Amino acid sequence: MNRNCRKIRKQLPLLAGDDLSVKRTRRVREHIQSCQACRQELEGYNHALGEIRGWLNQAAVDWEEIEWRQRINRAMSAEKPSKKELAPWPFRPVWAGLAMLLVTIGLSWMLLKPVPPGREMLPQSLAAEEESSSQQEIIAITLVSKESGIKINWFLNKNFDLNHKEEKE
Amino acid sequence: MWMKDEKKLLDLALEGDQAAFEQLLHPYRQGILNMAYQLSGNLEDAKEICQEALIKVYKYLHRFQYGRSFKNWLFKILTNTAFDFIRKQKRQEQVLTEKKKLGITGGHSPERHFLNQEIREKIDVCLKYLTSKEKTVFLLRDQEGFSIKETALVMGGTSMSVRTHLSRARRKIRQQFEKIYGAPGGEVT
Repeated sequence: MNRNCRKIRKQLPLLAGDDLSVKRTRRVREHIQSCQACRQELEGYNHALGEIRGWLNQAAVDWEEIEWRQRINRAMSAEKPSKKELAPWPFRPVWAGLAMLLVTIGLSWMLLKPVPPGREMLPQSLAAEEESSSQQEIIAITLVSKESGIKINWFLNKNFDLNHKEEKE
Repeated sequence: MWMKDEKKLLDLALEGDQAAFEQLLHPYRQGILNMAYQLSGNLEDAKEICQEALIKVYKYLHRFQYGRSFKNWLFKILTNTAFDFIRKQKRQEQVLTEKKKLGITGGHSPERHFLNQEIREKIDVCLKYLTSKEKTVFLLRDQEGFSIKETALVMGGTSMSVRTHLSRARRKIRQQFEKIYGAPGGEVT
């Protein structure tokens, strides 16, 4: 068996079921005409597949009408589906994509919009907080942007992390 | 035309119309039973698999994306249900052996049952060494007549992987067939 035969034989199971492309089928058939060993190999596949397909047909079963209806009835009484309107599937991802795009644009605009000078985030009642919390372990600071109204809450723990790091070092 | 009918039937089935649901499934009723039968090897189990699959189909009918193939969606649910069923049954293998010993295989006449049993054994022998994926691909293509592309959609893979599994399945079947019944030209028992 030469290299060409080995290549051709790999394709024979698919050729036997007519599952090769037109181009490949032509190439394999051309080879088979001149190679008896490969031809016999293909006959082997055709024979085995033909027999087993015949058996599968003979062994085919079907529902008895009453039983089929009973099964359908049982399936429908077991679970109730949602009565949601069916939308044509190609449009669903489009709507979802558009909504996501709008949300992303909105969020980026809110977060990345340049703040005009003099309108930076102003610490609200920072001094008062600091005064009152001189003996406290945790300090809470709230920053409010006048421009966008975004609030940022900071919680600073005096004993947190820094002490831990120093201890480690 | 058919797509429009299918849409109408889907809508009616979603509203609880049993006749519409039955009509929607009618073209595939024999196909799903045979597929389940070949995968499980037992008619009673096949009917149970179909029942479970039908329940899932109705339960998730609202999730079916209209415009896609209902047949592919149905067979995908069926094969997944069959795999789950077989996996569960493997854990209860002892019970299954007892069931087979008692000869519980379905409601056919004794003659039909005997004929089926004989052919069943032949099929079982030939499909013996196939993995579950190879067996499913082979049955979808060679029993149900699905195209390579349709089989890939049901299996959730590519056409290339379907071709590979199909090729491997047919090679194994042929080897097993010739081992028992001989090469072409020989007498087939």
